[in-house]
Amino acid sequence: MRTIYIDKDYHCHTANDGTMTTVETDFFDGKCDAFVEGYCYDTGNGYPQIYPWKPLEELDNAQREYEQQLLAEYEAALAESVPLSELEAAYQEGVNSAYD
Amino acid sequence: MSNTVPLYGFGGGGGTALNFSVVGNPQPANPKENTIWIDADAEITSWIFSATQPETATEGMVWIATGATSTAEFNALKKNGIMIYPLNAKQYIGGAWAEREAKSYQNGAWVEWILWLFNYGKQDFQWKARGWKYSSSSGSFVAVVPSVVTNADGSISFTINASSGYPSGGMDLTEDFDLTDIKTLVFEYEVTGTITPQTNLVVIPRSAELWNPNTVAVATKSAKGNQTLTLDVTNIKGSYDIAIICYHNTANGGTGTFTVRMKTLKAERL
Repeated sequence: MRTIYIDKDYHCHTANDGTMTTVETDFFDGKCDAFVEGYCYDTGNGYPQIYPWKPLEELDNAQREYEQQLLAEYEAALAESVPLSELEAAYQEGVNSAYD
Repeated sequence: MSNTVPLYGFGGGGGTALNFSVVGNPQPANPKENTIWIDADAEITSWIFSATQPETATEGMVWIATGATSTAEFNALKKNGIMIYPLNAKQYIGGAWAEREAKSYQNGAWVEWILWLFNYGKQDFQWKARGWKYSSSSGSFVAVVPSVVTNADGSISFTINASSGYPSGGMDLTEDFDLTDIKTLVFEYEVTGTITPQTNLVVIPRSAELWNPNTVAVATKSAKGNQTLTLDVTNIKGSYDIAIICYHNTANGGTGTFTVRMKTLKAERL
């Protein structure tokens, strides 16, 4: 579930400028801010409609870039972490030392 | 492409310079190319093609709304083409505009102006051969085998017994539909039963799952009785699955059954 903010034109925002309506929705779970801000959360007909007001292709491209960035950060974090084999070796050394 | 050509004419027929004619009921048995038939019993006293509603109208006038694309585009003049993209028709009767079905006779067949993805009241419509299928979703929602029936009036109903969890089910297209030239999807339906489900009109990528995290657009209503859901798809280009997905949270709303009766789903053009 994510908190978003709706302006008077039903455009979605990720920050409230003090004039917007707060909405909780899971529609944008995992989506980047640029994706969210290209959508409308429209209640003008008395029920929620969630649809893109910017070209969907543009929003998809922004989301792909965001996910690529997340992946790159994850891979960088993995590269800096201690290899599992070293962790296992250190654990085993600790276990063995208890019997010294 | 022009969508603001203010063509105006008197009477039901066409002039000698015009490449079309506008006629009311009965639908002609041997129409000429570009005959526009309006399902109007009242006399068509005049007609006008315009992107916007006329500011003044007279009894019997037919207003043909025009857009940027159409299923039945045509050249309005015999010489020097003026392309017309008709979308829908209304007739001015008793001080108000009333919708009228309209078709164009082109290349030996009647072409519908409105793209019906489903219409229970029509013997034939463009999407009928490709049809719809029932699916139930899994994941967070409990897959439920429903009772799906085609009613005597041609509508399709599916009934779900919501006895536990988040039972859900829905109908979706058997083939993807190109939304590139479509402005709006309009779904008319009826909900009955002992509980009120959440009914969703969704645009999603083709997938084994009806309800998936990649939903592109959705319109949602929780209500019984005859209802309409409208969804703006103006900025969605390309082909997608369109589905009606209904679900119920028994933890919040209790147990029971609900039936969703699909009546019509139309795709309105830009």
